[in-house]
Amino acid sequence: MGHVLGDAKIIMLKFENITFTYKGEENPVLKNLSFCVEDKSFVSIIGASGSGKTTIFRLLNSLEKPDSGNISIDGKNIENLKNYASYMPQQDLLFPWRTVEKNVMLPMQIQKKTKQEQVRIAGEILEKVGLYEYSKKYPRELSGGMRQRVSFARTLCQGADIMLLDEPFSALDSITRINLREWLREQWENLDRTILFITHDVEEAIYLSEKILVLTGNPVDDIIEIKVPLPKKRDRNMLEEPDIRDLKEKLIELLRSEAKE
Amino acid sequence: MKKTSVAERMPSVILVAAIFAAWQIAAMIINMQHILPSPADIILKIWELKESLFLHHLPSTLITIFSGWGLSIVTGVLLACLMRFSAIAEACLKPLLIITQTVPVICISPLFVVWFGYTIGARLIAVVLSTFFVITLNTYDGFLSADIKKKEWMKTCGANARQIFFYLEVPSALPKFVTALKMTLPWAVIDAAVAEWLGATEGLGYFSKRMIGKMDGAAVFAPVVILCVIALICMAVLKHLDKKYIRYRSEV
Repeated sequence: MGHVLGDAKIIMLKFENITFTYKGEENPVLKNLSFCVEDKSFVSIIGASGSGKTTIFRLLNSLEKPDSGNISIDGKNIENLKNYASYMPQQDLLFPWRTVEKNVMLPMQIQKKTKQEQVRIAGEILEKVGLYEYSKKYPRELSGGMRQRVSFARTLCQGADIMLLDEPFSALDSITRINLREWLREQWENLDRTILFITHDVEEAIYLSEKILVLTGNPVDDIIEIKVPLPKKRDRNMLEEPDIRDLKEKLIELLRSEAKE
Repeated sequence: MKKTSVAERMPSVILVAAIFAAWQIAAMIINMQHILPSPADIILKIWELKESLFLHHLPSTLITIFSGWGLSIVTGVLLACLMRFSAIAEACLKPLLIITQTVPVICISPLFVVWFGYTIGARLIAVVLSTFFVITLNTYDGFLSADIKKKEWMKTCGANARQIFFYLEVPSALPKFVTALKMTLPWAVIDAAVAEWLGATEGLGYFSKRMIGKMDGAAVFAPVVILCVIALICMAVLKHLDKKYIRYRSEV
């Protein structure tokens, strides 16, 4: 189990003094960066584009290695872990030759689960996210929003306790985005998992998360943590409340000043 | 994919009919069957020679076409896999394949006959040499066309190289592989016939050549017509399979 802090929350993910430079580049993208994510929480990372949000995920996925510092999940260094995080990419990246069901089964196939187990879990998860009737359809038969739902179901099938969602709604039209945002929040409430969500959309971050991490500096050397003053059950209208609107303004100002640097 | 309607096909049907009609009339005017047989003469000839053509020579040619083409597919895919997994093999083979591509196989086919005699081996080499490189290059390109982002995503799921190959690269390569099949099949038919023409004791190509010696124009054409029909049927079958199983061609 993770470390217990003063406020009795368990830390799921810990980023400690991470510095990272891309190969062949001189300047680091992240410098001495630290933050943590509590267990079973919904945390968003926002930052101006090109600020290093995706870099954080690449490090978390072990697609890149930090120059220095430690990343740990549940108290263990990720270098010694496998299948510790489920990653949902920006594009749905569904495999066009596989049906929805077979797409969702792929992570379990990679983990060499038995065929029966794959079918059972895929069925359960598709049922849970309301996609069961689409099991036998191919991705090309689905709309962009539906494809992202399938991609989310596939991410769930990876089975890790922490889910990394990298701007999953950025390519969708605004109505679909709002629908999926509400859908995702509902899913999370029923899921009992930790979600780390990247976005550049301030409203999306506020609606979805308990805590927002704003990346600042170039290279990113500090994170401003903001708690979202919304109850667990949320609806769209709450975004119009005065303190939420102030928060939104504040975040936009913050991002704008960062982008100028 | 949309179906071609009858109306859309009309112009080509009319053109083909017109060409055959013109041919028929010209042949009747010239009236020298051994030099310019008419389409009707050719069809009559096929009927006349049906036993020898369909029971003796056709099976022999079909064996050459399909065993040659099959061998070519196996060789092509194996080489593509070798290139995919070994950088050294890739560096060595690529230039070699391009050189093979430029060799006019017909010109050196007589040598195969010298080496192997009037055997099927000589004919198979001609077919394989003229087709395998297209299959190799297309399949290899297909492996490389696998989406790098999907590959990274699979790695985040803990996939090993074997899983990435079978779950991602092989299906990604399939459309290009089928394109290679479609391209090489007519060549296999042509090269099988040419190889028979150059040195064989049976087969449609051999039959056609023998009839030239006899100055029997219609009998020269008869096996050629059969070869064309075979190629057309095979192409239709491949096209059907492609449509049915590889509907994700544009999405890889």
